[in-house]
Formats: sequence, structure tokens, C-alpha cells
Amino acid sequence: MSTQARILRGQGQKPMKTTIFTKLSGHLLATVLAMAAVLSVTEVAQAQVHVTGPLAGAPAVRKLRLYREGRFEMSPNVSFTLLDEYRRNIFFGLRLNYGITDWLAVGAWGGIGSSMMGFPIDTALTGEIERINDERNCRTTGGQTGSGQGTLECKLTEVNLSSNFPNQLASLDWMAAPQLTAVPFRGKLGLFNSVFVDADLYLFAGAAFVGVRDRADCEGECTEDDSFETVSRMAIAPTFGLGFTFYINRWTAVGAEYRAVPFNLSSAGFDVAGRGQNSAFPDGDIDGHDRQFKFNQMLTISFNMYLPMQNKVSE
Amino acid sequence: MKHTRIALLAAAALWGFPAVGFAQGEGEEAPVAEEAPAEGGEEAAPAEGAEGEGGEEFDDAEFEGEGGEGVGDICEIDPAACPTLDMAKEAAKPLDETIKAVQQRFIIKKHRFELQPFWGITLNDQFVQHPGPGIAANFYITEVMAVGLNAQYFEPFNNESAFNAQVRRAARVGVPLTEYQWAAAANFSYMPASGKFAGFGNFIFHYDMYLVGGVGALSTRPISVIDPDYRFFTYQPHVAFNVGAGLKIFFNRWFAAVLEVRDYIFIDQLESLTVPPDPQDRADEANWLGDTSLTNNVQAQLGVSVFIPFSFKYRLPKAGADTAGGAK
Repeated sequence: MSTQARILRGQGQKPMKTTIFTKLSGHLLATVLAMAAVLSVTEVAQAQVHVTGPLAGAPAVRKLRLYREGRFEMSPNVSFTLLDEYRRNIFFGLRLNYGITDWLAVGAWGGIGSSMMGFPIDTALTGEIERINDERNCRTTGGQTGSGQGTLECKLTEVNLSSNFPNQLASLDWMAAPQLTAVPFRGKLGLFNSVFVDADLYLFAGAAFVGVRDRADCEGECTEDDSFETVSRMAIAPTFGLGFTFYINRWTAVGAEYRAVPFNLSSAGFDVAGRGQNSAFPDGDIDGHDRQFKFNQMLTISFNMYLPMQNKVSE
Repeated sequence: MKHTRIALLAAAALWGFPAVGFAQGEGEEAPVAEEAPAEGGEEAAPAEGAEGEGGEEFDDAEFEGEGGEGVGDICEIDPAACPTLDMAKEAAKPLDETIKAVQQRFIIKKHRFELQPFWGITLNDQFVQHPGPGIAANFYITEVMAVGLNAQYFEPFNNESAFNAQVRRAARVGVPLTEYQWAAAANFSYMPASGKFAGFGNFIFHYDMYLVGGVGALSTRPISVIDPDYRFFTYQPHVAFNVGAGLKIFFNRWFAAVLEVRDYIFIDQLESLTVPPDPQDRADEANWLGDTSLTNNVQAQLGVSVFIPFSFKYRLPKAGADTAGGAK
């Protein structure tokens, strides 16, 4: 496999397709959701019309077990990031909530990332770039001049690739997110028509404080090896998501949730923007233009404990 | 005979009642209705697990014949056929009657067709998104098992991420990319879980969770990235297996929203990463293809589900309830 083979024609090639289909899919999704909402409302309305007799005006659910109201929730959890380009993160975290009512809780989620704990998990793409970078041997390491110095590939990548590519990758070290949780849906789940557990679906939103390490800003001298070092900073971003809770008994449960934490970061430390129309072309510097929007997202599984151990029951 | 069954069922219900009460734990009242007052006309019913069985009125006198231990009218009509039952012995026998945990499901699916148009989005490919519309058709063999077909069309919707161009430009590294044309599969579905949710403490909706798996074909081709001046690929179908799980939320007895995650697994053919120096070799199609790769195309599919026929009837009545599950 020759290195030359990977040199690409059409530098700065545009994405293959227009975004019209993305827009189309958005419209279709909106239409489907709207239809579903309308049908849902109709059904509920019909259902309400039929209520007569002693049940008229009765609550939809009686003797509801109030798992959250007046209780503290403590949930050790593990979160796995999704759709990572260069580096995956696993967060070991804890969620604390206090149920003001059964449908509203205030609390916080926080976690420490696998990169900070000393085991970064790189993707196959990172491995491939590192392998090719090693083959090119562009840089002087340990006093030895790289055999590839002066080649076209080395000149074109000197702002973007250090001698150790994984060391220049961004990582999410820690997160802390005060948040509000709403529980609009409560119910039960039957497994194989024989095992029944109480369950709920919740939504949450808050502000996330994220400890990020990504490539430091540099101007003019961004080809030097020490310009590829990463530095810590704190990003503040919105966070939101939804999850399911399945109650094992009165005071323990298991949960699964999806969380989004969108903010800008420089995933690979590449110079990707800063010059030309809309600053869409590389400018040789590493700065805010090169930190691009990323819709960071993760899946979490948790084990929840509720205190006091006894729950209330509604009328 | 019918009365005997009813008597045994009633005994079983009475036997089961203390167990349910025990499950509630101390300080909590006996199981009570956790059902909506009105779902498509249904009256409130006891909670699942006690639904139906524990709620019907039971009149001992109806089952008393001569001597207080007969089985009612049959003895008067045909004394020869009148069974003699020792109720103490009958009650002592082990009960193996199957009692449904949930009576009168919100929706009956057996022997109905389901049409499921959906829109799929890729969950695990940062390089090329493969969204596209699709449709699935299922026939329910039983309440919890279905066989069906599904098809999806991708060709105009493949969307290469800007991220690829950035990697190519910044690191001078090409990643082999693939775009999809269509997919079709025969599937088997099984619904191990179902339940209901109360929304805002005000209304109730039912849902199913299902597992699905199948086999079919997925037509793909490499996107020419490494040597686009010479290479042009045509679509080729590949055998594709699929497994997935989904959630179906019912708005009424024939219409539901569906969210499904499905993994389509196939061996994909990638573009060759090497470019021969000789233009004649570059033009030779035999040099265009490279490695194969076991590929997982994980999709989220959001759609709706329409059950046909729209209406159905319950086989057995439920006390005080509407027995017709008609279109609403």
C-alpha cells in the first residue's frame, strides 16, 4: 500500500450531496410527529368523552407508588459516548436527585472520563492516521531527522500532524451538570406476560460544565512539535436528554438514558478553518475557528437507589 | 362443566388475591385500579396481575345444587349427568389453570396485518449517513409473533460528512467510503414486553417492545475517493442479516408510533487504497476493489404503524367493558 496512493485529488472536496435531503428528512419527521400528535390528542379527547358515572372525574391512576416524591436518588452510572471520530470516552459518574414532587426533581450529574483516568480509547481512524503518519516519518525525533522530511505529504500536514497523533487529540476529562428532571410518563412494563415492573420515562435539562483538553491556540509557529500539546479548559454547554427507569423494588431501580452535550471543540487539533469565504479554509493557525461544533452524545446505564427506602402512595 | 370451571377460576382468584396483597408490602392497601377511567370506552379495571379475575362479582348460591354441593341447573335438566363433586377435595387439588396476567389487551394483533412506513437514520457511521424512507409489512401469527418483509431506499439520500474532506485535507489520509442503494429483508418479530404509561397523570397509552431479526440483501457501492479520475463503481447487492429492537406506542387500536434500532450486518466491498502507476492499470476495473469489511449499519427507524383490519372483537367478554375493539 503506497503512501502516495492516499494522497487525494480534489483537496477541499465538498461533501458529495446537498443538504436538501437532510432538510427533507427533517420535514418528514416533523409531519409524522405532527400527525401522531393530532391522532393522539383526538384519541385522548374521545376517551375523555366516554367517561360517565362514578368514574367521571376520577384520576387516571390511583394508589400510584410515588417513587420520587420527597426522596433522594443516588445513581452510580456509566456513560458511553457515541459517534466519536477519533477518541471514545467512558464516563464513570454519579447522579444525585431530590424529588420535589413525583414528576419534578432537582439534582446533578457528574462523571470522570476514561481519558482522565489514564485509559484513552482511540478509534480505528486514529490508528490508521497514526500508522500512516509513522510511515511518512516527517519529524525529527530523538535527534534523528525523519526520512520523509521535505516530501509533499510532510509539508502539507506539518500544521496538523505531530510525531504522536493520539497525543494531540481532544478528550473530555470530566463533566458536572446541575439539571432539572421531569417525569411526564409513569407506567409499567410486562415481560413475557408474567413479570411486571413499574417504569417511568423522564426528560432532563440543565447546564454542563465540561473539562476539555484540546490543542492549544497557536499563531505563526504551529508546525513546531510543542505546538501540538493539549491544554485544559472548561466549556459550558447545555445538556439535555431522556431516560427510562425500571423499578426493581421500592428503593432500587435500573435506568438507561440518552444525553446530549453540544459544544465546540477541536477533536483532532487540525487546522480546518480561519481563512477565505466564511473562514472555511485553513489559515495555518490554531484558534477558535478550528474548534468546531460537535453534538456530543452519550448513552448511560445506571443503578438507582432511593432514600428513604419507603415510598409514598397516592390516593 | 362450565360452572365447575368458573368455580375453579374463582377459587384460583381467591387464592391468588392474598399473594398480590403480600406483594404490596406492609402499610399499603390492597391492589386497586391503576387503569384509566376511560381508554376508548373502557371502564376502570383492577391493576394488571389482578385485572379481571379479582374484579368480578361471585355468587356462591348460583353454584349450589341439591345438598348444597351440586353444579346448578344441569342436575335438574339431566339428573344422570349430574356430577357429584366434593368441593373440599376439588379445592385441595393443585391448580394449573392458566390465568392471564392481562385480560383484554388494548389491541389484538393476531391474524392482523401491519403496515409500517418509516424513516431511517444512521447511528454509527461518522463518515457517510445513510438516511432513507422504508416500509415494513408484518402479519401476526400470534399476539406476540409476526413474520414480515421490509424494504428501504437510500440512493438519493446518502450524505457524506464534511468531516471526511477535512481529514483528507488535513492529514492526507483517505478513508474508504460506501454508499447504499436499497435494502430488503424477510423478518421475524417477537414481542416479549408490553405495558402502559400514564402521561402527566391524566391519560394512559399502551406500548409494546419487540425484538426483530431477519435476512435479506443490501445494495452498496464504494464512493470513489482514492482514485476518482478513473474509478466508477456500480451497486452490488450483498447478503445482509439484521437484528433489532423496537418500541411501539399505540394511539388507538390500529395506529401506533414506532421507534426501532436495527443493525444490518453484511460484508461490504471497499475501494482499493492502492493506485497503480500505469494509467492502463488504473483504468482496469480489476484494480479498483480492495478489502472486504464486516460492516454494521446501525439505524434508528422512526415511523408509524397501521393495523389492518382497523377493528377487531375480543373473544371473551370483560365484565363491564366494551368488547368491541373497533376503530376509534
